[in-house]
Amino acid sequence: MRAKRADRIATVVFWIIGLVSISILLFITGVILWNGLGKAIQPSFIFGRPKGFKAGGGIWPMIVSSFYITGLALFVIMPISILSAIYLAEYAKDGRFTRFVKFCVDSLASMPSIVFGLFGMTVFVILFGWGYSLIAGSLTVALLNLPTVMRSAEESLRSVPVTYREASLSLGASRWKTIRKVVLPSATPGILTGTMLTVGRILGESAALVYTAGLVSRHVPDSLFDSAAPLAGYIWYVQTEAGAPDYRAIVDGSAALLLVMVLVINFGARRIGNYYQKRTLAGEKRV
Amino acid sequence: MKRIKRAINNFQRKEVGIKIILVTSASLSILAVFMIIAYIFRESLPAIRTVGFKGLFSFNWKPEPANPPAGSYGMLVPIIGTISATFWAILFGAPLAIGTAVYIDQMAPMAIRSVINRGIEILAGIPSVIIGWFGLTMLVPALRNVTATNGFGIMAAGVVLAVMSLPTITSISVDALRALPPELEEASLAMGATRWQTVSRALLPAARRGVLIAVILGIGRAVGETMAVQMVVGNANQVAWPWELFKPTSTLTSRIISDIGESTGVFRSVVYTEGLVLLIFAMVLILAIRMVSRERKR
Amino acid sequence: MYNLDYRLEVEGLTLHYGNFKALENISVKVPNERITAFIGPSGCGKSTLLRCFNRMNDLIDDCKLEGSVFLDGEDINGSGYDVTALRRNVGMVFQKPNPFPKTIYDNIAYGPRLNGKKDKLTLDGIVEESLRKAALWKEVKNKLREPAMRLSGGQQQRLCIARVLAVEPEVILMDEPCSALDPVATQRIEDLLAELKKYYTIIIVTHNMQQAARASDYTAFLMIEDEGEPGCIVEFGETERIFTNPEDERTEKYITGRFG
Ligand SMILES: Nc1ncnc2c1ncn2[C@@H]1O[C@H](COP(=O)(O)OP(=O)(O)OP(=O)(O)O)[C@@H](O)[C@H]1O
Ligand SMILES: [Mg+2]
Repeated sequence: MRAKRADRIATVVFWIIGLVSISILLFITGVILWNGLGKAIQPSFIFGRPKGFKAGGGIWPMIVSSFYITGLALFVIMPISILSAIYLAEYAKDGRFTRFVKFCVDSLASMPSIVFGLFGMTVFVILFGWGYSLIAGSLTVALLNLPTVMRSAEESLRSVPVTYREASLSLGASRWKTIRKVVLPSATPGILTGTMLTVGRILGESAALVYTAGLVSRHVPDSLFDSAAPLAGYIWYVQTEAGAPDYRAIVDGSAALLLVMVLVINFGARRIGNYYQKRTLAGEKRV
Repeated sequence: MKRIKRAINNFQRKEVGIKIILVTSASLSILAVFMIIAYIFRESLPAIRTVGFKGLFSFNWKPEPANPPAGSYGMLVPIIGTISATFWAILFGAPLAIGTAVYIDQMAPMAIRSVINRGIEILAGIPSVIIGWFGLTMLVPALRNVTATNGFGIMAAGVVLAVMSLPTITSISVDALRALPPELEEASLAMGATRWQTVSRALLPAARRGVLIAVILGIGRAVGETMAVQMVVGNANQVAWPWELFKPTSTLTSRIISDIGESTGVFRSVVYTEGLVLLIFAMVLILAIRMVSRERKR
Repeated sequence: MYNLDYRLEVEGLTLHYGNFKALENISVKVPNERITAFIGPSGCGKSTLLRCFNRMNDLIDDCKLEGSVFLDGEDINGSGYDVTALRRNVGMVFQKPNPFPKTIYDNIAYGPRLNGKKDKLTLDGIVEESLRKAALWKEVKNKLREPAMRLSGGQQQRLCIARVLAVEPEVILMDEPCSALDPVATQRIEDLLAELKKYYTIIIVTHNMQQAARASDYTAFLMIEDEGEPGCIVEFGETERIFTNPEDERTEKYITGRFG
């Protein structure tokens, strides 16, 4: 009977905990959207340029910069991470080198993004003389996100059933052919999910970017070496400077817009992942 | 005969070429790690040389942006600030997150389990500036009203960081619980255990290493989090121990992001040294995770 | 029919998984302190039926059942019936040995501890007695504090039986308990069954005809007419008669096919 009562109490407690967690996250989302969505959908705000200390500035250059940085970073991340993942999942034997690579990937993944910001600033901004620029910011977040994409790609490759490989190899295909024609296509949805999640993460990144890509952009960047302040960093900058009289509205609006973009992308990523799990991995349990 | 041989040769050459490309890309991660550590360390050297360990590990903080070598640059305030804020983040965040994971995996109605899980995973993407902005505009004023302080400080940072690490710890703990063989749950229930007895005596003990790793990763997230903390911690130069909840202070990350833009000389080098301390924190956590997961194999 | 007590009785049981009807109109009386075997082709619902006796199907989301299952005359699906008490009375041994990732001792003590037994001496006694009954004591008495996972498959399965015995059930359900074991380990479990039936009512699901013939007193043959059809009981009776002189020709076909 004691056990019964404990069980009933525990059930109630866990319900409360679960609901509290979800409500916290939903509450934050709700407040941000409630405060900012009105501003965020004004065309003059979305498509306008920042006006410094004057009211009525927009965020178009920052939005474009965010996407430029994301695109450019992916352009760097994708080939490196997929090739590395293929190496780790398909070729590497469990030797010293492999273990060392894995240790380095783990280390890279655990470094705080501000450290990447420091590094990017030292090397790309100052040493290479690129200044606050699209390319310095992109390379910095590329480094920052390389390990996560690599890991999710490796996992997707590993979850492709061995039988697929055996079938292809037994038909006389080479190892590389097997990977390209059989393994990679089966792993694509998983890799795609990982990539989408990374897009969301890059869009939300600020600490690694404010001192590599720039704090504010007056116009849409027109070259790799133009400063390209991303939206997330701009939010931080505007609330720190508090220069424009309507800075609060600008932050509210930018935050709502950024949140919508990130949540939509994450939602899409999970949908792909879900679809993939249901289709390809049905009944297949990974060890 | 010759043609076949040449074909085989070509074939092998191609496979070898591919392998070289693959190994090279994999090696890039090694290069990246070493470059980062090397550069952060190199930039910290001037501070380590001129300020010295004693000066760096002191409470004395009087930067002289105009004449850097004349200032004093103790890092203990932000180091303790980071520890204090992380302490509360985990104290609030970990039980909530582990409880949520148990709720999702065991207690929630079957029909909505995956919906809740997915929802938490999606909300894990809320950018840190946004949580910081929420903290600055909602949490800090609320704390100000109920405590007669200015609202900034360890408490605000702890809550913000707890929210940030909540989804991380939750989803990794859920994974750890899901990775348990279903037979475990069946075995326990079949012996007449209640749901709670099954969770507390069979499932959580079996998943404890995964849950521990989740908490360590949560700590890592809290230690390295920058923007959200900088917005609510107050950035004051005074030490705040974990029990000084409403004292504005600084963390390593908030110091770095505040100072990096306009420091020169030794002052600037000190900023890198703060980064170096963060790197060391991160390495300690990695080693902790390795130890926990190595134990699992035995 | 048989002059025995029936501890477990099933009446007109029909079970659905969602829209799929897995069992239809099952009625069977399980004799007391005997071993009853459920045999039949794969997918005919043997495990499903077995899991009705301790309501393990409660764990499956969209599982609905009609009809009744009585334990000692009480409907176990009735409102207010205590599931945890039921499961303590009706123990279960699974197809794959599933010890907890704990020590041997803690595995056996798990059940008694659930019921609030904390005293070390009492627990020691229960652990030893259960291991003795499961014919495992001699092999493990010097390594009670070692992880149960280190035991061999056969030992693990006997450990799981001991773990069930420690809760002092009256009925024990076994779902293909030997299918993951080699012939020697299987033999030991069968010997153990012969010993246990003196005190317990046992239901065992098996694919092994010899095992059913050797070890059980009563046999129920389940079958599905066709793919997607529900399972039902074709024939039930004393094992000897079922195997030597089946009434239904489907039973005969199955048994001879299996023996052949
Ligand atoms: N959880 C479930 N959800 C849906 N259908 C199920 C579930 N479990 C079993 N079934 C279906 O119910 C039918 C009976 O399954 P059951 O496992 O009881 O068969 P069985 O006789 O034990 O087979 P086997 O000898 O292979 O163990 C099968 O068609 C199976 O696919
Ligand atoms: Mg079965």
